Amino acid sequence: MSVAIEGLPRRVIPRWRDFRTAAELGEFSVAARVENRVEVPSGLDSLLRLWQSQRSEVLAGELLSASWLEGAWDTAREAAKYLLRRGSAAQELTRNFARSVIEDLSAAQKGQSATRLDRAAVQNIRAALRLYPRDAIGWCELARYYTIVGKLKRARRAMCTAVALAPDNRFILRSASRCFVHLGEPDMALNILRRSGIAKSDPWLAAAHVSIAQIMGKATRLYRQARELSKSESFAPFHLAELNAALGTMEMSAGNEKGARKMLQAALTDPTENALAQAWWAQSRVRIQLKPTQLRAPHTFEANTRALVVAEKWESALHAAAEWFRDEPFSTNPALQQSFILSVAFEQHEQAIDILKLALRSNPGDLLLLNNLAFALGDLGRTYEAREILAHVNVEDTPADRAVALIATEGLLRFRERDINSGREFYARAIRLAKDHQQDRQAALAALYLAKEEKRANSDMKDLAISEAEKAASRFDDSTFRLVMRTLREGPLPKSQPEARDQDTPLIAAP
Amino acid sequence: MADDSANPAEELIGQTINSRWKITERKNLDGKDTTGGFFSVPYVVTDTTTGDVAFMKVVNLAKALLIYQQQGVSTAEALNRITDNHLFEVDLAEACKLYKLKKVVRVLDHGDIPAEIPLLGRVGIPYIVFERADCDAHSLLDGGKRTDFGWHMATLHQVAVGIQELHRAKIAHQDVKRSNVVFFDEQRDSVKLIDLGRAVKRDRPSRNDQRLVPCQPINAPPECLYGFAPADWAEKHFAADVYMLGSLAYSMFFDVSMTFALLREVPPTLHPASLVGDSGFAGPYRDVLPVLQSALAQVLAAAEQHIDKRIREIYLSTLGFLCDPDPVRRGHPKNKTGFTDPYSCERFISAFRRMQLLMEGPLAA
Repeated sequence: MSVAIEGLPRRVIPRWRDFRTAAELGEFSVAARVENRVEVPSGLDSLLRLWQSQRSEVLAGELLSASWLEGAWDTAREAAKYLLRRGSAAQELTRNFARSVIEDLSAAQKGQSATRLDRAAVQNIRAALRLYPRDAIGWCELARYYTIVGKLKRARRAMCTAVALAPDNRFILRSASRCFVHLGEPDMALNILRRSGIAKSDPWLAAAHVSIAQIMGKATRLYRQARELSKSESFAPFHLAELNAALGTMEMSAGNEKGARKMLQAALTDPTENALAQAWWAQSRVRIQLKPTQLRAPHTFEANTRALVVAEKWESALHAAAEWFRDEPFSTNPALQQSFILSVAFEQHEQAIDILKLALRSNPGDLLLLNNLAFALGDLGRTYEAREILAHVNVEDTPADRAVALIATEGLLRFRERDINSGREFYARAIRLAKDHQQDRQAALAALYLAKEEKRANSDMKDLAISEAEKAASRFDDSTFRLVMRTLREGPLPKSQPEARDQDTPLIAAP
Repeated sequence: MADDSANPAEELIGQTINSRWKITERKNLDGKDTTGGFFSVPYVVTDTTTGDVAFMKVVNLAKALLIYQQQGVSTAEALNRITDNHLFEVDLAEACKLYKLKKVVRVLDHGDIPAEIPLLGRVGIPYIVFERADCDAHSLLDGGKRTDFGWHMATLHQVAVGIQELHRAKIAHQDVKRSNVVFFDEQRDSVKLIDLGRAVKRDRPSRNDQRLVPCQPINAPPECLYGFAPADWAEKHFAADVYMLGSLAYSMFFDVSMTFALLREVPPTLHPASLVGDSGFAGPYRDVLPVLQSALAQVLAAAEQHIDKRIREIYLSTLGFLCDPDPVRRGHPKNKTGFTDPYSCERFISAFRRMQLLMEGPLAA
């Protein structure tokens, strides 16, 4: 069976983005503003007087620098144009500066910005690190790139260097903690945060500490400080959003619904996109007031995906998940969600396979990705390839929630190999395992997938299987169940039909 | 503005000062605005004993008083500040003489010119006479030296020697830039540093010590623009000189300043609030330091392909050491052992000399 993210746990682990995007989203902004404004003597007037009397490339370069630094855009543009007009009289690099200033200013006028980490940028980072190896952000960017392409040992080394160079920088520490969680070393992530010393005073880092400790099933050592920070009036709500969401999730796990609601609602005052995604994840578990307008904020791809899934706008959800995957190409969840929608809603398995293979580069051996890949291949009838994918998976050593999916997928493969009895047995085993571990949701989903296979095989048992699956699924009223039920009854959804939007329909914010 | 007709400092042409300096013309600063220039009147003078031409700076007492008055400073306090500044400049000149600095423009004479000032009556107007250079690096660059990289390196070598000499005399220049690098006879081994108007002296407190940004933003080290002042005197002042030497080395090749190039690589939300206002970054410098270090790496990478390959490696590593945004790390790493002056320019003097030889000397082949 193909797994969606709806039933999976979620913690407020820091996002790990390229540094320009992180800066744009306020990750570098100061939690508590320091009044260190200084008087800067302007040198522009005297330069302008000189410029009026004599013009040269040397002076134009100086004027470009001074006017750009002091925000005199018209003068900056004039000096830049002069340098470009002078052609080869100016150095190529100087002309590049001039061009970039002119382009920048016009981009700013159109409200454009942002850059992405691509292959060329990575080559540039490597070259820059060779010349100046103390660039912690460069190492961090390199670690991210290595993670995306699945060079995990190199990623680890690069990130360790970044942390050694900037052990007290929020962006580096948050990126490192996400990196080490990804590498399966959450204890290392906690150590880095604890050693830094600023996690006690920085709500962004305290949030990471609380959440990672939760993943490890440990009590956070910073609980008291984290609570105090969350109550502090020295921080704007934006800076406390992730901490409140993390503490709310913690309360939720402890069964304190009232406390969880309070904290999650506080997180929504001025949320980061991560806190917003956490709230949309939590909304099926705790009653909180969500504001769909917040989904228009930049980079709210995950929150939009979750909101669109709830709204059963599957095609839009697919687009949002694709954006989310572009934003976090090393993360399993966007790939899982995309592959689930592609395979189950639209039966576009080939696309699902491409995405899952990409995600497996950064997450080799991830059981849910392997499961969804095997499912997509199996549903296409490529059972031999699916078996190769699952060949190294030992279901006996696998946690029950993942084992249920893997055994059910084995059932699918047997059905497609026309070994129907054996397929039924595997589905039955998956359902039993789920029930034994009180995972009734998983059991009901497995029953639905079994019914789909019985129907597809047109077996004698199909009516019974469908009615039993519908009975089991009737206890669960969420969009994932409704989708699987609908495809069981009607087959795949038609694609590219405009979906009606009402006022509360979440929108995908422009990237 | 002060009424120049009633201002004795403005009317000195034709006079002979101290029986030696005949004032021949008022110098046009071409818009150059230094601290000294703001409160002083520049003249060209002739030494009547030798016939040599020199440069004289006369404190514009009346104008200074008027400006201070407009700023709400009392007359007593204004006089105190003007006197302090002048005495400090004289002290710096004496120190330069004592330490026999060869690469800093020499002070030939100083004293007072008796004059009648409205409100003050008969007072002495302070003046200082400097040796007069033929031109500055700015005008030579305009005049066709832009692509003579051997000349660039020879000049930088001499500037580094000048900074090192000043540091030995416990003086930090604080405004090293192209227009403050002058040439005598256009000989490149006759380079000197001028304008100690923003300089500070380690063992002689002055008002300049209080400046957080010692110079115009175009040349200022990034920590100054972000409002960070290291507690240690050398980390604050010598480190700033070292950065400015690096910025000069960068701007001689690329015309734009290093601070500009660095901030071009920094996202706008992290530009210093001192430059961009509330939309900028106003947090502790340590939080933005990795961003600036990353910017420096990018600046060096962008410059790499535009530097002659004979000096590429040594030039870029020198630039990286000189312009490190971390004032503590700035300087040559081999000077950070604890036994040497961490901001010593000795290794950079050698590096620039080596680059000069690589470009044009016996190593060029």
